[in-house]
Formats: sequence, C-alpha cells, structure tokens
Amino acid sequence: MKNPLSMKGKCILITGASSGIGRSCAQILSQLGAIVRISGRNQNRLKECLASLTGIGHLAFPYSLENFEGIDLWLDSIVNEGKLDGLVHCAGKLLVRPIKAISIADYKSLMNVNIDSAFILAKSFRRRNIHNPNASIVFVSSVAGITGQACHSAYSTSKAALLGLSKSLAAEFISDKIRVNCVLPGYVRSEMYDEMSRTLTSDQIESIEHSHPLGLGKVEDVAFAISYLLSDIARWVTGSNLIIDGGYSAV
Amino acid sequence: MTKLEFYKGIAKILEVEIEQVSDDVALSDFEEWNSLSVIAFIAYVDEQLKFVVSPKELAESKTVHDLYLLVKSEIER
Repeated sequence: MKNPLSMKGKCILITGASSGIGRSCAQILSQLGAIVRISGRNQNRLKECLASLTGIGHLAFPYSLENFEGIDLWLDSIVNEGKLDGLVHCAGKLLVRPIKAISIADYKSLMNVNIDSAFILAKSFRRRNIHNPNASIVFVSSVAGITGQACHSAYSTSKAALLGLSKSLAAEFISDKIRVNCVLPGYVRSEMYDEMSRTLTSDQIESIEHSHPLGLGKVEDVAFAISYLLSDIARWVTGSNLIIDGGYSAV
Repeated sequence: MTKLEFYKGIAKILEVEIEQVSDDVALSDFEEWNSLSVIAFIAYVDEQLKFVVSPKELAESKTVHDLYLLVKSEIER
C-alpha cells in the first residue's frame, strides 16, 4: 500500500518556518516527499531550516507578513517555481500579559501577525494562478482560542479569530476546491515556550505541565497533524478544528 | 531610565499615584500587587531595560525598594 500520508508531488508553503512548529512542519513534510517553500523573517534561521530538510528542490522566501500590501507579489514570486498545493500558516506571536499591561500598539502588532496576515494570505492564496486544485490551508490556532486563561486576552482573541476565519473560508472556498482547517495545539516544547518560561516561577511552569494530562507536547506532534490535514486522505475534512493538546482542554 | 521613571512605571502597574510609590512601602500594601501585576512588572522591565527579572528573586521582594534593587545595576548603566 502506498504511504497514505505521502506528500510526493505536492508543493507546500509554510510561514513561520524559522523555528518551532513551522520548522518541524517543513522537516516532516519534506520527509513525506513534499517540496516545501519556507518563509520567516530571520534569513539565517531559514537557511538552517533549509539545510535540515530531506530531498531537493526546497526554497526559502523570507518575508515579513506585516507587509500586507506586498503579499500578492510575494506569492506570485513563489509560484514562479510552481503552484502551491498547500499553505500552513505557523507565523505567530505570543503575548502573556494582563490587559492593563498591553498597549494598543502591542495589541495591533499581535493582531497583524496572528490574524490579519492569515486573512490576507488566504485571500491571496485563492487566486487561480497560486494554487492547484484540491489544495489545503491549515491555520495554527491554539487551545487558547477555546479556553480562558488570565494574561492571554490578546493572544486568545487572535487565535479564536482564526477559528472563525477558517470556518467561513471552508464554506467559501468549496468552489475553489480549497479545504481550510485549523490545528489547536496546547503548550509544546519550543523556542516560544522557552522564552515564555524565562518569566515564570518553577511553580508556574510545573502548573502548566500538570495541566496537560499527557505532558507537554513536541512540535512534531503538531506537525504530523498538519501533514494529515494537508494530505489526500483528509479529502473529506474541511472547516474543522483539530485539537492537539495532550488532553489540556478536555479536563 | 532614572529611578523616578522606574517608579512611575511601577505606579502605572499598581494603578496608584506616583506619590504612593516610595522605597519603604510594602508591596503587600498595594491592592493591585498580585500575580497579574507580577507578570506585568516582568514584562515592563523586559521591555524598558531589556532584562529578565528572576521570578524567584521577584517572589522574595517585599518592598518597593526591593524591586528597585532587582534592576539597580541595569538602571545605573
């Protein structure tokens, strides 16, 4: 039997591929046979990611997604090398602060990266010159989009917004033959988690770990779920939210 | 950043007037000194001084002056 998760022949764009879930996605998709286009702001880390991929033909397209006006031209330049079969939007910021400590500028910056860029990327991706038929978009949301935690107001807002965007686009993109889904990870061990942990006490870190019945996740746990949603065996899956959180939201 | 500017930042986090923020005042005297303000304080120091306060040392701080001591070397640079 052919590997049902095979991504051979597929070309996938991954944003936020410099680190964490995005980088893991690029690595796993390349192992599954996909050709990947990786994006992020840090050119050195993108180069490192590129060097870690399996197979040949992968390319990096550095870009700051807050440059909304340039996204159409940016995607046009990517598809000079071939149209896309999938888009994984992993780029995102975490902001753990009480609302009183979040400035309007902080809030807008977070929304720009976490949700506005997703909206504009999706709008640009649906153009006929960009995607192949039976394409798939996966947004990386979060369990923070469906649960309440202090100091997550802006972050949760942005991640919940992705859920609404995804469902609406799932309905709208049927005729474009594009499926749209979200993954909702819990806390995974990553650079983003390490950065957040620097500001927490050991009790707070322990509390986070204990709130996940199956322990903290790994970036690969989420990357495999994304690979499934991009693959042909998920042909009947659209408008769904796939929770990957070690049981965090269930208890 | 001067010590006064640092204390103005603390006053904002604690939602009090600057006059209420002086060296010998106990943090427990402020209604708003809670776990959320602790996170806000860590973020404030990180943003303004590019320095991450040790959560353990912060938990041991009892007065406004103790908060100043956590960042003294960064302010006086």
